[in-house]
Amino acid sequence: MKRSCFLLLSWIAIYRATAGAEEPDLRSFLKEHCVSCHGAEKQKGKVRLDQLDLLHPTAPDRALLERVGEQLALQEMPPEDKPQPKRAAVEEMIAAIENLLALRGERISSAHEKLQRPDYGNYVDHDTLFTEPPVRKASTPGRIWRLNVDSWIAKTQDWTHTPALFRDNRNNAKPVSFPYQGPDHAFLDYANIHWFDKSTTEMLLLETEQVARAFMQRRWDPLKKNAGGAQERTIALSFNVITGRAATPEELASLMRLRDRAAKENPAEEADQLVVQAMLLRPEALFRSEFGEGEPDRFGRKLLSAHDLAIALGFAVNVAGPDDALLAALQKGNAHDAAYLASVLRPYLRTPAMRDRLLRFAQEYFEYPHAAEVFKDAKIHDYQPVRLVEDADEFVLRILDEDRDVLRQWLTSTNYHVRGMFNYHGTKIAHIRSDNGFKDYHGNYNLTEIEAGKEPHWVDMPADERAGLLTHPAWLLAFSDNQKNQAIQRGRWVTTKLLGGIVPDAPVEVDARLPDDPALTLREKMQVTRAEACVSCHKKMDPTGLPFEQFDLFGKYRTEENNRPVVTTGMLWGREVANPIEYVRTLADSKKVHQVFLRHVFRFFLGRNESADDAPTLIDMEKAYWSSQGSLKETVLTLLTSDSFLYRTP
Amino acid sequence: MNIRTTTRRHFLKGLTLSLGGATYLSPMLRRIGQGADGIERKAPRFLFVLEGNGLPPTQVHPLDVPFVARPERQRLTSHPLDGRHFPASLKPVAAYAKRMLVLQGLNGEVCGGGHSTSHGALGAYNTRDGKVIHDATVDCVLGRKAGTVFDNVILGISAQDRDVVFNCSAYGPNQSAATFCNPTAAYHRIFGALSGSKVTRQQGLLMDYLQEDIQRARGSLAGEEKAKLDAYLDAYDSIRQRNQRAQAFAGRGALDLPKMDARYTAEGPEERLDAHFELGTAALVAGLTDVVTIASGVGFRHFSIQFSKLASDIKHVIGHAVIAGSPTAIAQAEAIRAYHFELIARTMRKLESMPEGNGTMLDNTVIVYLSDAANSHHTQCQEWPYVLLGGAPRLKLDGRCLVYPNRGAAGWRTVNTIHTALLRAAGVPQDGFGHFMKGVDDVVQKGPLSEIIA
Repeated sequence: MKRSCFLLLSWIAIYRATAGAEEPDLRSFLKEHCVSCHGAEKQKGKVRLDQLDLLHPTAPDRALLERVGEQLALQEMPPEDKPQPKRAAVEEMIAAIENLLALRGERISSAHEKLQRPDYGNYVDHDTLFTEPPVRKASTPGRIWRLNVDSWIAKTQDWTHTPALFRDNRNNAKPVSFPYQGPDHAFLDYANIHWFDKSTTEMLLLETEQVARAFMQRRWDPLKKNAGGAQERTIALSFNVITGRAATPEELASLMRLRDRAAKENPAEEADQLVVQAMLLRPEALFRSEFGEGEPDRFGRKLLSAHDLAIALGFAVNVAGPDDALLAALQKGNAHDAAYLASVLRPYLRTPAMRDRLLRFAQEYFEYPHAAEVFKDAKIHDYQPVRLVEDADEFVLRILDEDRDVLRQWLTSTNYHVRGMFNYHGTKIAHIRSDNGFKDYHGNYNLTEIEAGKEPHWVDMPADERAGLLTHPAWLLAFSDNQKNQAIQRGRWVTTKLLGGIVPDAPVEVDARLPDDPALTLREKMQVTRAEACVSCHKKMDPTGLPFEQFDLFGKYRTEENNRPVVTTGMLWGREVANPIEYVRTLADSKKVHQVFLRHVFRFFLGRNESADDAPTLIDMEKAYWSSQGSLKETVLTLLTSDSFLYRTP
Repeated sequence: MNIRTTTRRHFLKGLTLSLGGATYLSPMLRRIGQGADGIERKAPRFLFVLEGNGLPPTQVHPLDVPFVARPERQRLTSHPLDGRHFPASLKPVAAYAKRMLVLQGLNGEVCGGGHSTSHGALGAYNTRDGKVIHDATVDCVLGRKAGTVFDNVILGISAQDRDVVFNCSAYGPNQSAATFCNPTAAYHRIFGALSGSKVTRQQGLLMDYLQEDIQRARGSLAGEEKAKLDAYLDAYDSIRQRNQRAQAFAGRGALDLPKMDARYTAEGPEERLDAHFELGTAALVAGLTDVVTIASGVGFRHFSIQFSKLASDIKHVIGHAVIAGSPTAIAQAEAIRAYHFELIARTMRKLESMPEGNGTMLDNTVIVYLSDAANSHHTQCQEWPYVLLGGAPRLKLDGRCLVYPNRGAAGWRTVNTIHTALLRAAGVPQDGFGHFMKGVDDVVQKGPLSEIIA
């Protein structure tokens, strides 16, 4: 008992010293923003906060404290229709709760974890990210980052000199040991969500065996010849091929021990193969390592080593990773001099590999390739989604190649690529209709067969009907289903990907059905989302998705729905927009929309959410974008030479 | 499947005598030996069969028991199954009516809905289209407890032509378990270690090297980064343990393995499914695992399979047409479902032919059939039909159709309770399983489904 009292008093002393000075403000925060709904009179959600005493070390229930912290961190409380506290006050409140939990050896775990997730990127305050901070101290937390599946495929093909390795045309089947298991609507390749677990490791054992076999077939003998037939030297050369560096004596000795053990009960060739497989399974061959080296600066940051920086940059500009020239250039010059780095990187921005990377960014950002996965009953709807996605790719690439005012062009250009009415089988062409019974490819664009033509070509679409990707049939199809448009999901996309808004996950028990009545338009069916339980989230999605009702569930422009004039109004920033064309042009004119876009560029290339410390990087990216007349490549170059990219913190 | 009855008993008994000193193996071996000695098993085996595209409640409802639509169900009703007129889907298992439970009306809204609840069907949580795996699924929790060579054997078929997919089961948060869709690959994985231990030994050497290497690499890391390599390291520990257990089986007697024939390389889902049931059953009979999961088109990307021999349309088209009430589509859906139950019946006959304790293996095996899309092609999981078959000392699989009342009516229960009941049956007492709905009383969603507990 005495011991408990002593601990309690000590704890209070510590707490007073650290956070106690702010306690009265926190109490008034609760009183001002929380207690009216969670107090003596009302306890919404069975939560009562008027008795929550932050000064007392043991009284507040841990779960309650954590919940308060999480609700504040995720901006779910106070509700939107209530007076909002200043951001700084919220941060203070969160910090105090964290302090309290930390002193008890705990933290706001769920909020912390969620804010790192790819689908929680928008939770960081937008204005903070574009406001110059008192000091510039951007950096990325030190990390290991699992190679993405395409990088690993490219690596294995390179290591084994086997370009056909893992080339599998079945549904784009790829090695299963590198699955993506992340949330919807977010970039796939985040550093903090992928690793190898029991299942994937078992797959990895099988797939690396396949790689090792290919290595033995193509590489082993030439390497052995180079090594003059010496066993250890051959292993050392193989190590160099796979890791890109020389093995240390300890590493080599360890591999030789493995080889000796394996050779006792296996033929020599199998023992060698096992050693190669072991190299392939080392963390170094599966993860990128980014921790920085040397003395930390006054903010605790360390610069990436020239080698690690070359790898990070190499993967940024090419899914296959750095080439020898990049590695050499960074070893030779001052890798941490932004001007030198830019001069080294600039040529890479014009490579086909970088073109592919930027296309991949656009595909994951706009999500239009999902059109190919949308089910539509072929008996009722005959269309060609893959062809439409290819058209969208060409649209994206052409604007990337011009590299001027990229986002505005993506959002407003009326110059569409139309693949034409022929299929291509090698050198032969066949009419699309005879090949797959396709009826209405041209109709998706409101073109006649003659206008759609036979060959791929570019078509200037009517400016009052189409404007950019959000009115492109591929994007529209990606957000549709077998029976209707998915106006809510379209609105969610605009709200989160262009407006930087937050749309919480739907509650688990939500009954998301719309009425079936065929006499109603989708807009009329969506009236159900105005119910009290739904409206707070749906008001963030429905008005920003409904303008696209201008198009039917195949992306075809229409003027009528259910034999009535189609209604295409929506709301943007509290004002009504009349139709999708006005809508997307207004979006394209917005500075904030461009900023939100740049936040997504940041996430794609850094593989993480932006934090408040990254503000200088985003500010510089924005400057680069506008000063280069909207060049995405110049903007990415600024990102790749920023402190966020070059520095790591423990 | 031709593991001879006497051979199996001999094999299992011999195994325990010769390897009794290996401590990490002893629980498994002791339990196997007890079965061979005629001592009752305490934990049953499980075969989970999930079929994508939804299970309309009427398709497993006895034709001569009036079907009450969900909104009208105000109280729990129980109807004996023996002697009933079974619907087309269940006819293949009609002979096992006394060993069957049909459960109607369990609420699964906690799992969300859509075309599939993905891992949520066995996890009792909302995966949001399979993207968020909150925790281990019930089959993996049961498998972990079993301590057999393979904690779980997870097999399946997919609309996508892939050897392995991640769609149904999970070992833990964000740890989807691989579903083997290629019967040949599955065969080699399950029985390869028994038929030849060279691969296992080579893996052992690799793992010795890697554990050292990974330990070294993780030494310089902290926090979440260290955890990534810890997971990688743990995975090898787990594989090593499994290999050691498998080696204990290797060369210990005449264990007749399934013979791979054309079904194992066929492209058709009917043949592949047939092969998977054979593999799963063989693994159960051999004692290699106590928990098999067969995922027949589970998950949005996997369910739209073309069963060419049974239906003219892919399952997605059938699903829509069933909702629209098309008799043709309903007949096709039932034919496909009946095929699944034919394979289940074959497994049951096999288990029934295998003596165990004072009965047969079927007395200690629970077969759980459900759809990952609950009751419909597009589901909100407001009711989730289940069919349970077989036997277990702690479960009452005694020939009843239980119809639970609609949400809010006295006695309504959620799917969490069936998971909890299965865990109790396996000696894993838990207050509840999965996620729970806010504002819903514990009595509804926690504790086991009392009507099926013995």
